[in-house]
Amino acid sequence: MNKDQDKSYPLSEADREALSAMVDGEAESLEIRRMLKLSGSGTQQQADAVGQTWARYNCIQEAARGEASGFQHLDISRAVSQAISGETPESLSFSETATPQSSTEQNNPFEQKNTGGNKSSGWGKSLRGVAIAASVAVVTVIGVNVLQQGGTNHLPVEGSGNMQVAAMTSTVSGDQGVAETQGAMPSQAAHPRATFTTGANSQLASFGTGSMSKSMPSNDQRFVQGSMAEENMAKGMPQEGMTSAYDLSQAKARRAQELRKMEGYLLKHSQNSAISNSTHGMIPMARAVNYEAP
Amino acid sequence: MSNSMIENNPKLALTKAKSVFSSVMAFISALMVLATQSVVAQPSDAPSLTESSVFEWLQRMSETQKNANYHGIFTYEYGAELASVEVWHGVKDGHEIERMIHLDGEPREVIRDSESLRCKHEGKKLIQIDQHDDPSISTRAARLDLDKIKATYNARYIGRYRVAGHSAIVVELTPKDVYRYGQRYFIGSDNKMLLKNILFDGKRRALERFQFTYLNMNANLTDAHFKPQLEMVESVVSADSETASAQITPESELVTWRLDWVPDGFEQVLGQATRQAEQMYSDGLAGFSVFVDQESIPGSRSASSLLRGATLVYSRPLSVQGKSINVTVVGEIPLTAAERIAASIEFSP
Repeated sequence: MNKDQDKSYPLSEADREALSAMVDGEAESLEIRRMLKLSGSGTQQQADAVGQTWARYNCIQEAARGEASGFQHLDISRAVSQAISGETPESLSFSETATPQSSTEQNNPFEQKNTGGNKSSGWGKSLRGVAIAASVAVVTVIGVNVLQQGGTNHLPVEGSGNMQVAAMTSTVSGDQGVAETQGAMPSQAAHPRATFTTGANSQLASFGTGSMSKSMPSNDQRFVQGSMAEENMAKGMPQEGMTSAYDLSQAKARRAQELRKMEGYLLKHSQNSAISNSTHGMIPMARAVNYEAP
Repeated sequence: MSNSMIENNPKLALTKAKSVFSSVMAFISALMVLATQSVVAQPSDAPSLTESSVFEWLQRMSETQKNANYHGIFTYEYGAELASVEVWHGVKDGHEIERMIHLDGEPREVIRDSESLRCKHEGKKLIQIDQHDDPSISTRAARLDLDKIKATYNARYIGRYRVAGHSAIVVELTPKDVYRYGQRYFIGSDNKMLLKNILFDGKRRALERFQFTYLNMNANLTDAHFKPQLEMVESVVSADSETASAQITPESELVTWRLDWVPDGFEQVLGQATRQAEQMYSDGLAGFSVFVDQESIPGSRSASSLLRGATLVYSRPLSVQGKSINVTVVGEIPLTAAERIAASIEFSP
């Protein structure tokens, strides 16, 4: 749909908008569904593009807030698949090559397992397998937490009249949208925003960071650690980075506008209900004026 | 707020009691006392109600809410938010009149009488309010239509409970299909008031909760209680051009449309042929509105949704007769229903 839709960037504007919303933890179920689908069952190119864009947007967000995690260089998804698919001692070396200067604790488990594993077989081997899986999990959890902070600690959209989007809906695959049972609706009351975001981010975090280290040299760790997004962008990924930042702000503006409109309709509906509803007395009225709750 | 919102799940309490029973015998008597306290008590002198008497209770509740004089404070909980509101309600010269003041945040006041609904906000932040210009609609017209509700919901007696110091019977309406939510009502056994209401989804999780924390049915209400108390700008569309209503396309530019499908039992209650920008449907309990506008945001966009409390906003772009049209369904209905409703829209030249 646009000119820069070449092989390396086969994402539509709507796709990028969706990813941007996901980074902010503001995406709706439909968007997330679409993105997951694209990354899972789309072409390899599409999947890569989704992963890379996702990773870039996260970097931009974090760098802009000076919250770079330092974990972006870890190729978690590759590590996991290697750990699963009958790993050899060499395959474990990713932890050394991918994180050359890192001195975080998360690397220690890898290295210990690596040296320990050389001597053992049988029991030792299977134990090592478990240990590898466990240590990968540790890294993943930390990485996700960092990403999640980035995604949720600033609330909705600039100038959106302060209405809080309390939660987004989550449903099953679009193909069966109509057949979907009512049960697929998540609870507001159970703080679904938090759980939901975690779910989405943890799935995406692994493929995101995975694709990321493929597309970036492993020593590019510095990229995300500055506080000025643009400055770092210029160093790290000259052209793509700038485009992304631009996309991101555009996408945000559009979302803000869209949200405002939806809020307006929400209010109008509540007022309609206040007039026509007979059973619930003041409830629709309460809904109607709760609009501005921060 | 918890996941298993529906209070006092007897099973839960029992399971709890059982496991403790097997392990720590010494505490059993104490625990049994606790368990019976937390379970919705069903004393032998209060037999469970039949489905038809549950509907009678609902009917009485609906009438009381309109005809009684009362003063109270209630909380309204949606998502992770909680708001408290003070309300005065009375009948004056045969007219229902009600005033509500929001106790949290920016002061807001709503005054409703049988002819109109007025909403006032302090300052200029007010969004909008309609002086409803549709003559066929008045706030008095709304009556509980039991037959309509019976067609789409099952009713069930749950037990007894106490809310805001008033004893209550607890009843539940569960939908017969997946296109609406269930409701649990706590109705005052003596005063027949709706003391508490929980709206829940197909997994029985609460989406929205309303509850009186104080209710006085013998309030001595005077005219003064219904006079606007706040110095406020009367509900005008705010000067801020960014408000949503400013973006809603004028009717003249709209295409003619109708819905080919709505869930069983839903009937149009607002929006005549002349008001094509907006229609509203209700099944007697739940309601949804449909809005059609011309896409003001250029560029392609996919369907999107937003859920606030129990109210869902589902918006879908369409291309009709060369125009970019946006269909938005808003209501206390599940996404499944909103998607189908929006998909059923038909345009005519």
